[in-house]
Amino acid sequence: MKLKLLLLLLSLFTFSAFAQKRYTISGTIRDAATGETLIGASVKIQGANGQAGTATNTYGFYSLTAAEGTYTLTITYVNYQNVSRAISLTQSLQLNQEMKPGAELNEVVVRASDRKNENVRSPQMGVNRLDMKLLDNVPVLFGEKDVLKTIQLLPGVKSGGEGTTGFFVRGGAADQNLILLDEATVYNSSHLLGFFSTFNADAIKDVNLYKGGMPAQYGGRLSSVLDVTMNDGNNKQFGVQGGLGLIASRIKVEGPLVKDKSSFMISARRTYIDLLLKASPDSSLKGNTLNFYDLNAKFNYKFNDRNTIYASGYFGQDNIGIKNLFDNDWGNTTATVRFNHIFNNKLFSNTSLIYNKYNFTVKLLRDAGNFGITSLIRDYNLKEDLQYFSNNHTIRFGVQGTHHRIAPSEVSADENSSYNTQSIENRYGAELSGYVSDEWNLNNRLTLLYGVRLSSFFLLGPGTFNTYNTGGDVISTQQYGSGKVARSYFNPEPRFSASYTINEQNSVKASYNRNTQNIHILSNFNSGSPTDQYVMSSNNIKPEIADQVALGYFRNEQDNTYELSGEVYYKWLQRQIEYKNGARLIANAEVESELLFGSGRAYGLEVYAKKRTGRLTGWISYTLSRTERKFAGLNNGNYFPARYDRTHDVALVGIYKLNNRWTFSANYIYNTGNAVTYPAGKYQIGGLTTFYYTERNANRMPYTSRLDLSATLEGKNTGSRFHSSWSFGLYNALNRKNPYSIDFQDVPGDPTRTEAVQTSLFGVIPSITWNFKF
Amino acid sequence: MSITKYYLVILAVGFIASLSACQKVIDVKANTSPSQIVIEGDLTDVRGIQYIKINQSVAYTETNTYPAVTGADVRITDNLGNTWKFSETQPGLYAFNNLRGIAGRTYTLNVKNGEQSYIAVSAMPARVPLDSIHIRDITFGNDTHKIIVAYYNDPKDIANQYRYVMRINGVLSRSIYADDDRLTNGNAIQENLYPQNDDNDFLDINPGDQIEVEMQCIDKDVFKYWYTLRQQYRGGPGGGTAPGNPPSNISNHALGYFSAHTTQTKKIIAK
Repeated sequence: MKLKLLLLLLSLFTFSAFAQKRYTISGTIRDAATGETLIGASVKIQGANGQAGTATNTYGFYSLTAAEGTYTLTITYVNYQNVSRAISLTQSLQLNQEMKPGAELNEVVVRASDRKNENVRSPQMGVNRLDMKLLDNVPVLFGEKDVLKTIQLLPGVKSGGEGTTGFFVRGGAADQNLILLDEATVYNSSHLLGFFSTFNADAIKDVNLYKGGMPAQYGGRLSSVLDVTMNDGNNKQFGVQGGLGLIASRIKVEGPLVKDKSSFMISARRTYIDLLLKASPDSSLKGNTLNFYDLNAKFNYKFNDRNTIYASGYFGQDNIGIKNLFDNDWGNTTATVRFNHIFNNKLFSNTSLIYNKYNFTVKLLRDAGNFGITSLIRDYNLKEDLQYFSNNHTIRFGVQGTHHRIAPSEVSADENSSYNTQSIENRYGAELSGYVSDEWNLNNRLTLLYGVRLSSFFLLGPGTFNTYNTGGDVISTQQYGSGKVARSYFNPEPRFSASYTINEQNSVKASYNRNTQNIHILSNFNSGSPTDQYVMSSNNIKPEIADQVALGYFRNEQDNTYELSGEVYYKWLQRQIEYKNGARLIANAEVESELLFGSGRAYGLEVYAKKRTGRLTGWISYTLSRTERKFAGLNNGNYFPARYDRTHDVALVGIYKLNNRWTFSANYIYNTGNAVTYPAGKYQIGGLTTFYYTERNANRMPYTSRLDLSATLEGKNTGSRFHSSWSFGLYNALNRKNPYSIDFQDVPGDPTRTEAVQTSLFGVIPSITWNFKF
Repeated sequence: MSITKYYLVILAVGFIASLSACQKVIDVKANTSPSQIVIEGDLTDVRGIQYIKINQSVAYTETNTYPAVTGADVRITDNLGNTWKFSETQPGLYAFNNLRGIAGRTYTLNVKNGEQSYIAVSAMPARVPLDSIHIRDITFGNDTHKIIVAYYNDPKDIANQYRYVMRINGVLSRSIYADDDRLTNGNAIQENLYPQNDDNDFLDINPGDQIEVEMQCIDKDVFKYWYTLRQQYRGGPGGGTAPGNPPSNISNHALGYFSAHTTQTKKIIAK
């Protein structure tokens, strides 16, 4: 039935093609120097018989259809030289084009997209695309350029805390972001308790963040999609690049395996904070372990113009340990195999087989015998995605099936340990979804992007499933055999966006989307920790649901030099999860009895002004927002601010290219403090001062304000292939003591009084990095 | 498992502290709330004077002196119908002489203060013998600290909950120690107790110091109370768990707890 409907839809859309002789031009756009496919390049044809335009997809593929005639084909991509050529459309054409990196546009370019007027024309709203070149210039902690820290400078994205990579989008929680690396889910995107992200910038080609109006091909999380694409590797020539930093070093090797047909890329990074610890004057820090490393690899093989295979993988590991006491290791592994097939000049197919895993181990080393806890979540994922390029329609449809396994915890103990070896039942689940969406240019002014995602979730046996009442007591127990469905949920998720172009410079856009989520994180910490527990939707936990509406105004000035946008959004959240006071999340078979379910709402205004070209580039972003939660068992059942509710968030980023060698940049952030609970009273229990709390999160931490500076010095161009650069950074240049946490305690030495103690993490921190390339 | 968190935080903060972290006392605009009644009721299995302490909470901004609740009617009854009426020996301190609780019995505390009455129920668990306590060195990086280890055998057939109170030369170690046998049922246990001073650091133990450890066997509700309090103790706003009031086993929104527990104390002298 669904297929029938789909075919009917397709036939409707293609019907007009028969009215007139029309031909299609299609192909792939690549970088002439490296052979990397270019994502989002603008392709346009213009002639007496009309005009048409599109942008390349994730694999650099484009397809345009127009009436018979002669046209001028123009391809543009920022930082590349424009390509313009005459074509005669008397039959369908295949045209693969390589673009040379641009010499004429030598400035740093901040871009949302490279399709001219994309900001104004595209129906997609709430999306930010990050230029990886930009990362070289945005100052960051320790000089470690980082995708996740840079997106925190965008409107509507809040950081989880100083220096951390955890982020919150439009009132969503940290676990409500879908983070994809070459389509594989990255469950824990942080290294070293969140100070660094798992994304090694050297290996990354493209980053898109969707805050609203999610396209139907994405699903599974409520608040955002962060879609990260790895570099394919240079298929023209062999190259090495790397960097030596204050706390980490990086190296990347790439090159052709078969020229113009096949290439590879391997990128690695390792920190050496341990060495710093060894040098630390604080003797308690010596001899401890604190490091992480990661490895990205990608390989592709182009059989012919119609068939390409990609294989990519990521492996990352953190090790943190205290000599003779304690060890905690964790890491993500992902592997993706993708097969691109171009059925014909209008139909593009991608098939993906994906594996991803996150696991952690905690070991306590004791005289009385060691014991450890391990936990993991593992997915197998099969995806078929099709794009059909028709006249005024781009139709995207596909199916996706995912199998999940969660091993909540295995406790293993030595013979003589106090601890018992025990394991908690694994949980299995399957998600099946299908989607269809259509981007429809109704006329010159109105463009629609609409679709639906049908998502279903099945909790599978084998296992024993308890059902709990609100008090956390077992009210029934059910046994299910292997592969038997213990519980299933089905949710249609409508997605809709529209843009109305008032003129070349101005447009208004609106969107509505529903998202659902079946994998949930239970975390004791602010913004994620390595020992977070994962749970699936179940007989106790219903899928989380979010509905979001947004309205925006978009404007371009001075031939796209300036981009301005303002968006307002309102989001309703259902079936949100919190845990009870005193809940024990780790190694607890009955963890679902410790949960509370409630709702939330979030609304706000985002303003974004960006200067894209010139010597001085950068942006200003401002967010005014409110995020609240409501749970029957908390705060007397009244709405309370979520912890990361912050009224004002301001970020300024400025990059100034002085000449071909020196680039200076600065960013400044200001934000209202997090919502926290201060004590209202105090009393004494067991001889210790104990605090009495009334309203939840009714207080505010002090505000945060920080200025970071950096300068990049490019090496002299000597004509040889070897190129190097220096980056100098100054994090928190004003040395402001920004609040990280506040503790209440008795005044040391004076038990009659209490005081509030604020901890600040980072004062001014200089950094230096040397980068090379040949 | 919160010991894990403790280490993680120490290590993370330690790493950062070595760079540039700093702490300062700040002024905060805290809310104020009306005084709440606070009941701290203990009934032990050792014959002697049993105390119920009743006072009031104060606003956060005031000094740590808590007004006594005087003239309350305080009674404990057991599941066999015995009743003991406590008398006020000092303002806010209610006592009963020559009384002990018996393991296996369930005790109900009734407090009447003016119009308000408060009720709590606690079952005294069986006593698990505390075999001994020892001092052990642990290394933290290149530093060595002394911790106290309590040795006992956890009974296999039932769920057990424990609380410890530790004093060094009569000074209370400023930490909450509560544990259960969720992961350790039926084993020979070595419970690590980290002495803590009033500045959130290791309380150093020197030769000649007298160490005293009291082990209590407590019921499930009382354990939940102490465990929650322990999770929140010094895990203030911005870090750790969102603070809330621990789940009291006393009715009518009173703060505090009523615990019928066994008690045993061991002492050693540090060498």
